Amino acid sequence: MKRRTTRLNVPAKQARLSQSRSVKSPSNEVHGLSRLKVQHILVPTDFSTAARRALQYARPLAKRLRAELVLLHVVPPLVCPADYGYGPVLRRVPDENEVRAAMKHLRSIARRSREPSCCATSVVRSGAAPEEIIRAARCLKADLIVMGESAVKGSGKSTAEITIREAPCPVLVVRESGAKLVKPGKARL
Amino acid sequence: MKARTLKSAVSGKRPRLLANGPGRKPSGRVQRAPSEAKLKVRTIVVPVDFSPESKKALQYASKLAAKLGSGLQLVHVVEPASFVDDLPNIALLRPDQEVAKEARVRLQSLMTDEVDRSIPVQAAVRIGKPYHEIVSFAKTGDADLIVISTHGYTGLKHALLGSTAERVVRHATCPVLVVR
Repeated sequence: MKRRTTRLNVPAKQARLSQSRSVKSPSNEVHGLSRLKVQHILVPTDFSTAARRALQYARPLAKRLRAELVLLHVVPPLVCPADYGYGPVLRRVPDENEVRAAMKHLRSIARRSREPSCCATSVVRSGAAPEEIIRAARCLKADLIVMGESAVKGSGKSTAEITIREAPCPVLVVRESGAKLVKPGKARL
Repeated sequence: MKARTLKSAVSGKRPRLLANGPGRKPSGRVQRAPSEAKLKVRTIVVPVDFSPESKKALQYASKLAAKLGSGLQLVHVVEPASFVDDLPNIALLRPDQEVAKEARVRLQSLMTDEVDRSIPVQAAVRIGKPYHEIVSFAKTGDADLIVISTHGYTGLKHALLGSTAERVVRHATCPVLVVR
């Protein structure tokens, strides 16, 4: 294994040359100097420790990628039986109080993360968590989902796992137990 | 855009008392969470099984590395024949060392083809159970991120998350980015 040395100040021309050098890859523009386009980062949160960790991770990431953070919280709906004359049905209505409280909470978090380069929007949805996260990612055209996953390993599938399966975009999972996720100090760039 | 309107809403609601007069800081600045910490992503581990999907993950990782100024570590895991199933006649199969050697060559060519030259890259070949090796490789290498595709050679297209990716997400100590 040879370690390739870092070439820091590669002139653009040389870099372009090195790109054109690899002949057979039509995917040249995908890598190389082409930009990674991440405009919206969706951060679903359930206000747990794991979610907070994910947000801690997402904030500097959004700053670095110049992306906009979108905070999302999913409130389970109120289910009430109803009868409209064609047999009993279950009606799911958004829990207004919960939605309002969640919005308030999200906004207070968003306010904390306000920085000149990245601004956070808050979205509250009502429904089942994984589906709503995916739906939100679709309609916001999110480029990345950053979400936390608690360290508890149950037998069932966690929200993060279901989201990974179905999400339209890459998903970054931050574990609750990770010791060194965000470190203060100098960033290398 | 919400932040701005929110700020004005908040300051509009607040009774303008003398106590929080002009000297008061803007409301957003007062309670700063320790989110000021810089994001440190120095090493990104990219497991590669040479499938087109893993190539995609590598491309994503190299773009991310270019943005974040981090280095890449490619790792390919050779699954020993005895892990694949309990074949009694192992002599039919090629020895793992030979497979690993070949993989090393392929990794080198992948490194030169897919990763931009300005990004420091290392490649390694491990022998063992894929998810376990990936996780332990990331742990020992002090990786900050693992970028993996939803499925490589195992796992149905679009329908399923490959078993390796799923287990890596479950067991990794660092954040995992799952690319599709």
